[in-house]
Amino acid sequence: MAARSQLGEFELIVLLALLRVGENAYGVPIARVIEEITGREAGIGSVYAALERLEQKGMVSSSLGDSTPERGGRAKRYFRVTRAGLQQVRKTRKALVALWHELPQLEGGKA
Amino acid sequence: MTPSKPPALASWMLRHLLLSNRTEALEGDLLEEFQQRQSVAWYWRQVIGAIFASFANEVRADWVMVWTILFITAWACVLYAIPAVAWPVPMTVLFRLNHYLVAHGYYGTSTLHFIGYVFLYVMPFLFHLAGPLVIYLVVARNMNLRGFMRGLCAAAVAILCLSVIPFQPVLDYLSLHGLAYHWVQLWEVYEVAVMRQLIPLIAAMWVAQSGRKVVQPGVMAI
Repeated sequence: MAARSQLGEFELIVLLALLRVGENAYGVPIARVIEEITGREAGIGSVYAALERLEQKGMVSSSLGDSTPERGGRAKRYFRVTRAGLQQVRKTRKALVALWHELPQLEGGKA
Repeated sequence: MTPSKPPALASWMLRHLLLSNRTEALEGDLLEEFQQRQSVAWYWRQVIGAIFASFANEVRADWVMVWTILFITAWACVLYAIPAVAWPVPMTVLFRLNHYLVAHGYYGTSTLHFIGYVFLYVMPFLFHLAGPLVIYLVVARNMNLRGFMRGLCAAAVAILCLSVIPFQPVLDYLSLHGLAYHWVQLWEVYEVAVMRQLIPLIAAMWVAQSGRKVVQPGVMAI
């Protein structure tokens, strides 16, 4: 279904950060990667909301880990990108690169 | 002095106001990060942001439902705020028309008189159903003639169904058996407002939107 395979800007950022973190990705490292790369503070709640939407679209899957004392006994939720998610990222990159290609306004590095 | 525990009120709000089933994991993440940052302001910012983000998720998931509720609430307010201002205008036009017809001996027979009565019956329909339905569909970016007509048919069916429910005998029975007069008056207002106006309008809005295209607002299509 077309509507379910669409990606918002922040969703795409979260997906890419999730891929960058790799194994054992959960809210905190994902938010940190986004902060490091984009230079803007990423709310952990916003990251969770985006991950929830991505999970509903079938691009991300999650599983509960063990609870740890430094987290007040609360379990971590680990996320990973699904095959459909990976496919969507590739498709998005292709579309964006095609849109960027040979734009006169972006030539010369002044824009 | 640096706090070792996050603000209790913020944690309570996170547990009770978050519209998500991921509260436990999120709370653990925030606690883990709080141990490093030790900033109460940061924690509050995160909690409020998380609550808003979860609410926004709900709105995205079923924005038609949320928009319908907001619209119908606003319209219900307008319905009772405007009549005092808006009704005298068509009524004055009608009374003047009536006086003119009587004065010129046309009463009961003329085309103008017929138009006047059509106007009298059409105005409430335009004000209570067709008007708000058009505004609703235009703002929801789904205005199309077919949806609009389907909506009006649904409103007509709702009015018909509600008009066959015998409320009056029940009300008479209750008032005979001790129901206070002010409750009877309140019911009359309720019956007109809710049964004849709001429920048909909700039915119209629901049916008009039922065949909509699936579009998520604020989503970048790639």
